[in-house]
Amino acid sequence: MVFSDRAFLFLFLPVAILTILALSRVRLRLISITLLSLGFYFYSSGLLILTLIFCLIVSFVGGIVVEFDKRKWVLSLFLILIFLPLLYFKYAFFVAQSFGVPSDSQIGSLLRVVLPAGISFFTFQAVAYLVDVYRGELRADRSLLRYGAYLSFFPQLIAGPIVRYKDVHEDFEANHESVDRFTEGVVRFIHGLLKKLLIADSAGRIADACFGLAGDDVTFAAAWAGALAYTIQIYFDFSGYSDMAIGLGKMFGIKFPENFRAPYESRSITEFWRRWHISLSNWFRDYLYIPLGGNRSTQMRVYVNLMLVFAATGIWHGAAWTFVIWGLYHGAFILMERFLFGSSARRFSSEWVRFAYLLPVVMVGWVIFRADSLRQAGEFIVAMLVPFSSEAWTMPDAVWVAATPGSILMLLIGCTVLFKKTDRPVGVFLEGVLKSSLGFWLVFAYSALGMAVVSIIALSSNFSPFLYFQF
Amino acid sequence: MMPRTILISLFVMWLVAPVAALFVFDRNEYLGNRAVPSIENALGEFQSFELSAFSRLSDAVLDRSIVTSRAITVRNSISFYLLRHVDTPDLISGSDGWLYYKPQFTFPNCEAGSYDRSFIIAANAAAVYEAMADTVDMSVYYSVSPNKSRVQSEGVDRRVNYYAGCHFQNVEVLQGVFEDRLPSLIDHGRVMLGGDGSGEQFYFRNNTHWNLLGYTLAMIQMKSVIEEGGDPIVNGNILLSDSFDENRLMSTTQSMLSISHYERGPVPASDPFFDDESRWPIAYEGSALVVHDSFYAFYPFTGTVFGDQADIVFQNVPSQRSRIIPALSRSPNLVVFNSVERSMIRRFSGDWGAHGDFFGPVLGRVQERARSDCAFDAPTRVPMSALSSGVTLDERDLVVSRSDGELRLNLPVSDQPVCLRLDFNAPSAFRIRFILPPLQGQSNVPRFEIGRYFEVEAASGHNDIRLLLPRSLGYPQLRIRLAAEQGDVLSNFEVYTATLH
Repeated sequence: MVFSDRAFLFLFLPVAILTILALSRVRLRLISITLLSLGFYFYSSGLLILTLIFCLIVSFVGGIVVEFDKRKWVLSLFLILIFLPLLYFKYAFFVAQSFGVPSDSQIGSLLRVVLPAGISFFTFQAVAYLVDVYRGELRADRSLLRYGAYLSFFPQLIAGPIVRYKDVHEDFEANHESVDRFTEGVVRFIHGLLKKLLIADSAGRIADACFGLAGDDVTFAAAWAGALAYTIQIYFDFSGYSDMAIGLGKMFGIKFPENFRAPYESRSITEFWRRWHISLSNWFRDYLYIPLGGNRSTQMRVYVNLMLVFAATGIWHGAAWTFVIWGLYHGAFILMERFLFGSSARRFSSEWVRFAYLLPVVMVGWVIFRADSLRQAGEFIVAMLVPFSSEAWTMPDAVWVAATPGSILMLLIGCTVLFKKTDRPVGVFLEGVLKSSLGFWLVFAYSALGMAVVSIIALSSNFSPFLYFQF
Repeated sequence: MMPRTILISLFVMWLVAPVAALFVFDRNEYLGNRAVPSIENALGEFQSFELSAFSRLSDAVLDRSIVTSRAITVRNSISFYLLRHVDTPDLISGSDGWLYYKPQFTFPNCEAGSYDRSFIIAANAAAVYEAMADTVDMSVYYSVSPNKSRVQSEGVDRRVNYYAGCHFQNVEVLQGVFEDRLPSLIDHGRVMLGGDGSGEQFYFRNNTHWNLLGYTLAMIQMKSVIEEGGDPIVNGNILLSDSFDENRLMSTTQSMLSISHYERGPVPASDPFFDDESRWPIAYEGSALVVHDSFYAFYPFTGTVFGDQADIVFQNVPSQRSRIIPALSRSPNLVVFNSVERSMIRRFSGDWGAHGDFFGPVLGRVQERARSDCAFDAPTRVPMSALSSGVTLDERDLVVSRSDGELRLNLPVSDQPVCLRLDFNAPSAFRIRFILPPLQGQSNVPRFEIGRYFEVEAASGHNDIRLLLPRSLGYPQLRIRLAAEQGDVLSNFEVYTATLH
């Protein structure tokens, strides 16, 4: 179950909102949040909910233990325990395959399992909690109910953002919802839904058609169309989900951090990673890069650390070599920027750098990320480089069919993010506009129209999962 | 009320609207041509904590809501009228506003010969049914309402072609297979595409069905075939000058953009062409059974065309469908099986052919007539030989060593139905498959071919199976396959033929 699913919108969400808001006592609200969240997760992943419960109990107990006993091995023990399900469900089969274990062998079939939804997100949240307690930045919570409500909180449970307990625990300790927050939440939620249903899904149809082509059928035009469509799809899909999560959080009085800040407006890869999936970048910075030595090591050591972090970032997204290479590809560009320009690489002043450097590099990166295999990624990238063959500019039938007038229109609207000159997310902008009287009614009209559009699409559409649901 | 409260109220109303509508407005029991699952069943499953239960509950509740059906219509209308393009799981728009129902592209696979086997089996099954029914004076006609994309191909553009795949090429193969094996098939597309009327519009642009002109032409063809034994000479001018006007031909009231592709609309309740009693009903003797689908149901004149003595069954309606076998058991003189092209293979291979349930009453009548009309008191023993090592003839016993063992029977050549009697004792029940040689009219077909058979149940103990085989056997040999248990001995096995009284 995801947020754009009609079952969530018109059955689960009304029940959740009416139940949670009707309860004024904090304890009862926490109970209802936890039960609803577990129900939400159960109907997404079934009995794999046990992985969430395991992670919840281990990190809760671990927090209390680590607070008293700060020896490293104690922390390591609990971290290993927390990581175990993630390693098994997400990476064991990949590692086995890389060592040549056939998928139809006894070991292969034992390791080839369904991935629990959002396991990468809640595992990272639990790790952050444990490490923060260990570092003394956060007191271990003695209330399993409160901590459980946080870790299982459905708005951020399966696709982030990666919310750290130290940033939100106060919101779980008392009721912080208000009419203002709720209104902002509604606007943000609807905005996120529109991003997903109108732009991401339309672009996704074109991207799917392009990436579904057989190797020989990928023309120059189709490869670029696919790369562009996926560039738009993944941004609107994931940032749309984050907008919805932030909006839902606000409705329930929980303030989540921003996860995107106009990433395609960046002018270097270094800057891109400060604007894209911010909660993940911050997590890797605080819990991997800095413990490895951060910037305070030798130049060579910093480079090695950066590549390690980006390899980890890549493989966090999925157990496949395409993700690893994608991470290393980004790491290599960051290293190059550091080597050539030092810290000034973070913000080139010229606008053209974006179009001549940042966007092509990111788009090629998305091709590697989206491809089913390194071979397909290679074929795509080669096709993107050959504009002069006889069929380079022809569009295969499958793409032609997917590129309906509506999809093209939505893709073009989505492309406006490539030309945007502000780093303020539209969702944040809309919340700000709410404060003026005229602005309020404009946002009201936008939201009302958005609700009508969402009804039409969500009620009449087939189910379309979020991309980050799988990570 | 504070403006922000208004927005919150609107949001909450929006969330609850689809469910609230269930208590205020009529509920959808069907969405398109799919029945909406029951809420009670979905609730039962929900309580059982099945993983997909919430999704099924949501389907049961939300598909039942009028908000959902309106959302589908609005979305499709915006796509079609504003964006000039529709591509849903069911529909694809072609050029110039033509809409096509996607399931009509039944044979998209481009691998050579992908569908040949299923085409041959279907054609042969229908031919055997028709021939066997003929032995008991039951005239069976198969009619096919062509897919819109075949008749109105002007709207088939690159997008439609993409979904069609190799469908159109495979349909040409299908037509060849049926021309060779079931030449009596009434293909309504023949008169639409072949005569002077070609170039006219026979189907609605935005409905999968034919318009009144298409329907009328089909009924004229049906009348011509039944009364005169062949297709009519199409004269489009006569048709058009008779009773048709442009507005009625172009009616788009039955829009595919609505959720139901065959929802009822203001189709004419009467029509001068069909009100003409000198023209209708079709002349035939005795009673009739007409089994049809939505194309014949689209206009209310099918009853007029076949008259009061016809039992007319719209097979898509389950309650009507259950009338078919009882009606066949009453031995109608004329049987018409009508199908839309996209379903014909499934139906001919299934219920409608000699392998399906609808063959039961015909076989019963064949056996009954064989008992009463064949002179088995003066039988002639039929020469037979084992066709494979699966059976062994040993004096008067027949030993089955494989369940696909076959015998070859040499029949007398006759222009009358052939009486056949199998007399034997069996240790257990099994099925006997009678594999027929080519039938008259079948050309370019092998001597024995897949699908050209019917089956009879043999019981444990003594069997005295009496049959009439078609007068139209084009070759004096018959094969029978004895699907008995390995090692079974069919004792006192004799096969006789006889003349009709």
